[in-house]
Amino acid sequence: MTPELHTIRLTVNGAAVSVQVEPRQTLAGALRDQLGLTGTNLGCEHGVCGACTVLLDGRTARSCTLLAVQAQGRSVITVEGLAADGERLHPVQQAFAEHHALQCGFCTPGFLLTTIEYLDEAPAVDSDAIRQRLSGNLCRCTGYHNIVAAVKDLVRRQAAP
Amino acid sequence: MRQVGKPLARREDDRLLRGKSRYLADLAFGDQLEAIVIRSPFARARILSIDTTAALAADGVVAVFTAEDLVDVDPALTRQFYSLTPAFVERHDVFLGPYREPILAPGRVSRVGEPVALLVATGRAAAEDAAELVEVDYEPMDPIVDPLEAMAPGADPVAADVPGNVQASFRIEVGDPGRVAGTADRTVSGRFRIGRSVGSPIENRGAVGVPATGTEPLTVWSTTQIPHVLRSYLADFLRCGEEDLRVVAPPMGGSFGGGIYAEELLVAFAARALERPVRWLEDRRENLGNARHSRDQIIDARLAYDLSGRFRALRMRIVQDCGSANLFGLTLPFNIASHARGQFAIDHFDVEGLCVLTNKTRNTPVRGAGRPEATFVLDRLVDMAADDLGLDPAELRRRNLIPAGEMPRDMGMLYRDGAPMVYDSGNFPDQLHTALEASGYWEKRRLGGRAGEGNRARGIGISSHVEATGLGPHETARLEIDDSGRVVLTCGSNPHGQSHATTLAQVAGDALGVPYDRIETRFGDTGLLERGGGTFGSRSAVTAGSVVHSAAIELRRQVLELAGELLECDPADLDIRDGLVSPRGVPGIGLGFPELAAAARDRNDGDGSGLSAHDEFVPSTVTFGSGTHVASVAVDRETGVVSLTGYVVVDDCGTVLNPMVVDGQQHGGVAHGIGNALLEEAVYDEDGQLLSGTFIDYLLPTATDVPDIEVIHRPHPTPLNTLGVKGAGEGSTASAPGAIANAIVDALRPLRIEINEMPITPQRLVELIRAAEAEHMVGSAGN
Amino acid sequence: MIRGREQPVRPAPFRYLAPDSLEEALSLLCEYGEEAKILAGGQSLLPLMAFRLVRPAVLIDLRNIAELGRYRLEADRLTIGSMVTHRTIELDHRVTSRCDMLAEALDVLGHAAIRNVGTVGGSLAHADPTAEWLAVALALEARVMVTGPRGTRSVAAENFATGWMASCLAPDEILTEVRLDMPGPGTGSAFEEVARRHGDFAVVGAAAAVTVADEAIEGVRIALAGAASTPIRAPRAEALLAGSVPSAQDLEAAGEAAASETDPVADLHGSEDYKRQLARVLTRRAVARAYRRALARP
Repeated sequence: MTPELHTIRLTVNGAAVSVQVEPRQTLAGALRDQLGLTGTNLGCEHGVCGACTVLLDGRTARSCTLLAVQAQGRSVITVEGLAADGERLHPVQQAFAEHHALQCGFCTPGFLLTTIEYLDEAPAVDSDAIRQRLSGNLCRCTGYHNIVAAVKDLVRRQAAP
Repeated sequence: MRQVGKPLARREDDRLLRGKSRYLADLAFGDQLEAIVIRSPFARARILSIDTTAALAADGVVAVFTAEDLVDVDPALTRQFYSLTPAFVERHDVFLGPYREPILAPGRVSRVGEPVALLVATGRAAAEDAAELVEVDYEPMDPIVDPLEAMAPGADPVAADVPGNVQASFRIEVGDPGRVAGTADRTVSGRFRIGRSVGSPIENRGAVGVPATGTEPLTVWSTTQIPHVLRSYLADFLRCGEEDLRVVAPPMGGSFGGGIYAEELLVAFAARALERPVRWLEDRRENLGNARHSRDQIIDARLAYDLSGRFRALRMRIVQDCGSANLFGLTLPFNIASHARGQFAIDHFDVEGLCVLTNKTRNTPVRGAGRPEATFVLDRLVDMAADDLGLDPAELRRRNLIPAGEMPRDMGMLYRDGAPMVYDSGNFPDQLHTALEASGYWEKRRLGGRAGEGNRARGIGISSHVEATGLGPHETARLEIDDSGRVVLTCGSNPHGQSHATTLAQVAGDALGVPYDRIETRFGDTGLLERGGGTFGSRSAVTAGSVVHSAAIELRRQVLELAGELLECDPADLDIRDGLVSPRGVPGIGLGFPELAAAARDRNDGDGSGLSAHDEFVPSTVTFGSGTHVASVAVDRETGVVSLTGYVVVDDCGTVLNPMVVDGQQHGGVAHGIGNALLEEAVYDEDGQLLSGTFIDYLLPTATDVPDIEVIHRPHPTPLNTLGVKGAGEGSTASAPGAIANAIVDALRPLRIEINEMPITPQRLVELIRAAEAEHMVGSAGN
Repeated sequence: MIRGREQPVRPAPFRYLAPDSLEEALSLLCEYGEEAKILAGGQSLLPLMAFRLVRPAVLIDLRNIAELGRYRLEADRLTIGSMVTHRTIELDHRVTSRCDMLAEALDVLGHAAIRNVGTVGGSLAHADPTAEWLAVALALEARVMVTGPRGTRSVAAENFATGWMASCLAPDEILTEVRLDMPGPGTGSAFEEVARRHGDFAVVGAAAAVTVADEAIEGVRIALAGAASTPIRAPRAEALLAGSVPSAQDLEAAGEAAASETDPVADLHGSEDYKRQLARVLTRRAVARAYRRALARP
């Protein structure tokens, strides 16, 4: 059986793109296999680990638990969209480096995008709230301590006048 | 500027943060095919037939391999890990039975998930569609999932050549434990059950086989911690020479436990047979079912002591559930035995260790590898003894810690490497004191143990551990200056998050006088280095650090000698700073590495700079790191929910190469230990089916399960290597379960519950609380 | 005979349709019958499809049907279209400030990334007995609007779930909206849950709404998630509390009563006994908190 193919148009990291996908292709699959954006990593493919988190119209979504066809007409930001090649890191990336908030780096793209969404909500400095927000992303290396420290630092800096 | 010891920024981060790192699943190899493994759904069964006809006819399918197709190769893994010396075997009464683990199941399966066939197709989805067409006719048999049942007389053998199911065993006796235990004033004892857990890096496993070309040998890319060891297993399997093979470990998304797996051999076989690259990417359910299972022991232990609180003897029997095959031999139970006495002076000691086969996934060492188990058991026994004696647990520990003045201390047995086991360095009493002060122990202890607001009771618990690190047999590095004058560091130990490109470059940079971020690093490729060890067992800072250090010193000698010739002065009068070779006392002028490389190349008639140092480090034996943890908890007495409210780590990993990196290792280790203590459990039912096969049911700790962690370094450098380094990767995992268990018991002090099982789930805790409350009421009624 | 691979991760092939109107969606549903499955946010459905535990031949996505994506708060009545995401409700302070139970339930419903995509209607239709939305709907005596070829019907929340992951929705019907009445003055509400980790499926959850008059409980509604094969009300506990100025003993007795009304299903994260224990404790805590809140907002 030849699979039915859908052409979807969406914006990825600011650029309009069009891809042909089987309905069962996930957004993560389309990003990685069709658009070559392999910064979005797959950890569980059942919507738990958060490694594949992207921003969909500015809000976090798990790209393994979203069909590519569901992203029709929407705007997607992946880790590759945070800082252009050769340019300075995004402040969230910078804070993660400064606080040693990554080790193997596999979960890191998901944490970066989760943090960006969180900062967008202008949160107060609150460790428990930060930990709750990060609890949808699994990291096996860092024990979260330095990730929380990086996010707390970002929240503090953002809150400072 | 000295670089070692400074919290220098990681060089790995930029690529990782930009999503530019190329993990295995990100690599593309031309016309690569996708392989998936068809696995056994039964824990024990005969395979009556396999029909691949329909699958082979399906769209996109290229091949289906079964055991019958494995011709001209070794059809099974038969070489166990870690050779033992004859003296060790004799001294510790070692028995090692045969080990045989089929690459593809030959007519019978002995666990759920055992590879039965490899299906190769043009794409992943096509492969999964076609897999539904492979028909396997199984005749299921009753499996054995309980190791005690497996050891019972008359039990069916899990492996035909291991009657009785005890695949390996050992016995250690130090002093006269039988007599001493009999004469001691008091004893505490228990049967401790350590749940099975899974290493669970966030990246799943994967492997790609790439056929040989005119210039490149058959190459396997794999998420392996041990590329050189994998190459030797591949050579055995494919019946070829190691020189006909190359193994590359790309950047990895964690690992936490090693070994050799059938899948990484199968992709090589398929690539060779099909003459196309063949990629296998594991999914999470495969990972949770088949990779890096660990722990899973039943430990009977008894601690004997005098009324003064002096520990006299420790006796132990370890039943290690190995699963269906025991690749790692004695490793896990022997690690438990060698870490069982922790930081305490216990002169009389005996352990019997038994490796038992069951119809479950193969057990392997995972972060901690026996240390968390040993430490949990010891910590619990110590707190039980403290309760029995009416002493504070901190005070009882203080009375029994090995005094700093008695270091180094021979522990009266051999380590796995055959050398006498000696605690080489450390100051345990200082560690305890520091941890108690930092955690506010005495105040918390005074306030704890009472049900507070919302029925939450607070408690505090201590754990201390030792950690044998830097296991041999060897590690290799090459340091060279390339044509452009760049320093290139190549090492046989490959990282999966541990920051080798930073810390090893700091070591090399200090010796060479070059900033660490100007040293190029290369790891994990057998094509670059003939020999190599790998990254496991908290070894890299010790073994790779040492060999990088010695190779860098040799390269420095070569550089100074050449510069001396060129500058016509005594090399002893030269110094290297910031990559510039200058006369001493005249910094800022002199020869740069590019000029030296050019001069050397001229001298070599253009055949490279020739400035190159290659070395191998062979450790005399392991070196012992150590640590003391204090955990603070709040326990909801009605729901059994435990929250960690504070955590202090005092660590001694000798010379600290990069404190930021070491702290990160400590944080991660604690979190892993918290997972083992409270959340993670690979659960099998009586049919040998895994019930915890997804991340919905296998619970890794999240950011809300881990508290802020304070790490304090109290380093005591080892005399066993020039850098004074001891390993740091696993120790924190060792102490977390014991500290948490003791803190929970402390929070519930009035109930005097005993925790002897991990993970400590809310349900188990509620059951313990209710049983204790019931007993308490019966007790009061009787008064 | 065992066929194939034990554990797939890619869904089996299916046709994807995204109609623009409810009428069109209903006619597609008629056309494909049991072969079709409705896709809302997909946060529960897609993992099941990836494991091939659910394998529809046709997936009908409601994302283009604008009316299903709207919600409104009119006086005390909150009407939520089935395609409204959890997060939309969560971030509307007008709603969450009116109903502590809902705010607290949304706080523990998965994680932000799930709530951004997952929908209220999808969660209800999935009928997972541990789902927060179903318990809240029960405790607030919500009505679920269902449209099919025979027209639109309004189903009381307590009649919606019919068994473990089963609802009263016929194969040709679509859940279009849920109507909830926000607690008024004199009513306090609370949601309590124990999950293994923050954001996990509830082991057990308890929702309570308490209305007071002169410090006495005038009315109380208690709903439990994860305490049976469907979410349940706890009528005996409610009856015990009615009319009382609840003492600690009364609350404890209500918890006991609620526990006795459960019929839990054991799983990896809780035995039947443990779940009963949680039902007892969480009912007590939820009612106590709801009662305190009721007193605070006369």
